Amino acid sequence: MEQATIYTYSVVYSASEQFRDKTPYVTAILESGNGERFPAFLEGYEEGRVIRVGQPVWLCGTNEKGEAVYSLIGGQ
Amino acid sequence: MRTVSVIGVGETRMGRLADRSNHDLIREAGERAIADAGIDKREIQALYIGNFVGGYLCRQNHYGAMASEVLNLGSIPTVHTEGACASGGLAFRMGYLGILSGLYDIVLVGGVEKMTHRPTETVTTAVASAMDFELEAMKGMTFPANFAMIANRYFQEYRNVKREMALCAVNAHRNACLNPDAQMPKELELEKVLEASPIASPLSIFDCSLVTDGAAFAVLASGEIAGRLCKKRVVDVVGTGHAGDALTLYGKKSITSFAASREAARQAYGQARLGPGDIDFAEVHDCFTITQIINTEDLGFFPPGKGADAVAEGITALDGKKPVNPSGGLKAKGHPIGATGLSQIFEAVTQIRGEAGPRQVKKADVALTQNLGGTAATCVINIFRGRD
Repeated sequence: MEQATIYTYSVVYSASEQFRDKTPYVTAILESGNGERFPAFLEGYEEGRVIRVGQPVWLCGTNEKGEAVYSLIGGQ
Repeated sequence: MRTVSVIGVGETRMGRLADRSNHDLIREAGERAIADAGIDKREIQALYIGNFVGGYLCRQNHYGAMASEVLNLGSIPTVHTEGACASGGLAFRMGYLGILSGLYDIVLVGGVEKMTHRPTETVTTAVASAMDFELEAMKGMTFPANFAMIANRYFQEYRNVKREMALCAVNAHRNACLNPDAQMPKELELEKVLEASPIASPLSIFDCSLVTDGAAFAVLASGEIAGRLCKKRVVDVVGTGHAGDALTLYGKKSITSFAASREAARQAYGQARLGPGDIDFAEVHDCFTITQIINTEDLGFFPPGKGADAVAEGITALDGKKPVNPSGGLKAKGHPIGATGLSQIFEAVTQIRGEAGPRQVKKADVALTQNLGGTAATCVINIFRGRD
């Protein structure tokens, strides 16, 4: 499965109006294999899950805008 | 060579000022600056005013005309500047250029923001317009989240500086206790800061600057006129810089050092023919505690990755070798977004004149102000020197 790595991230507990129902959630800047960086809302976060810079994340589908969606869970 | 000086400053108290309108804030700070300069209003030839989120939070724009009417300045030209948290710095910059060009001899520059009457989520949404709304905010990013991502990357590239970030907050509040205009003149205990819950990990509420109502103004004049008019110590603008970078965080080459700050600093130091070691004290843009640490590295006060050590060693404290944010900064004096750049300049001028009372730094002849906009996408830096 296609993957990217976490360049940096944050677990967000206090959100804007559009995202308040999703807290806590993870926003990240991901890095693809060719070094390109891009912003992402990461699926699959549960309270207490340890996240670290450099860990892999996996492509898990596309959103309503047709953009790639990545998840903390995958790779099996 | 034509030069520019600050001949008057004025600001409101910063805080949750529920009973004060935009008009009230502009009137108080603007009138104070004009009175401080000791000029007749008819001598003011132009007005530049910064405001960032009035259109969203107050349903108000066109602040230039509003300020001119409130301050009874007649039919002079006015400009409303917007560059997110650097809106005030840009107003100063435009006024500076107006005098430097020879077009004007005396201008009024200011900033105003009114934010606290709206719920936190609404303010968070409004402020997120300073990042790329479609590419970042619609992925769940907020300003605390963006600077939290900067902090986590900094921890990866250098070391975890959470404790030193907390010390930045403790220092800021300690200084604010000595500032009658500060929003939160209250001591913070280090352990309490370290134990606080995150709002965007690794940042807690204590790592974030404040949501603030307030206004600040300054009167600028050509250096020659300043020498004739000014009854207080003339404060000359000896160096200025203004630079930009990608709007998005992910579009920046480095997110642990800000290119806009480094370039604006290079311009300002070059013009002033001064280096970081010549700066007696600085007001830097501490929108978050990690930002203060990075800023002091970008300004050349400390090597990359060593800004936190300087905080731990007390170098940036009020009585340290390089006092940073003697006013209490955005963290504890407050962050009235469009007014913040001018509020920093208010502090620089007050200190250089020796009028800062209990928070007066020991040597205050040369000051630097650094005002950042958005996720370090805009930076305005000024260097001020008191005339002998």
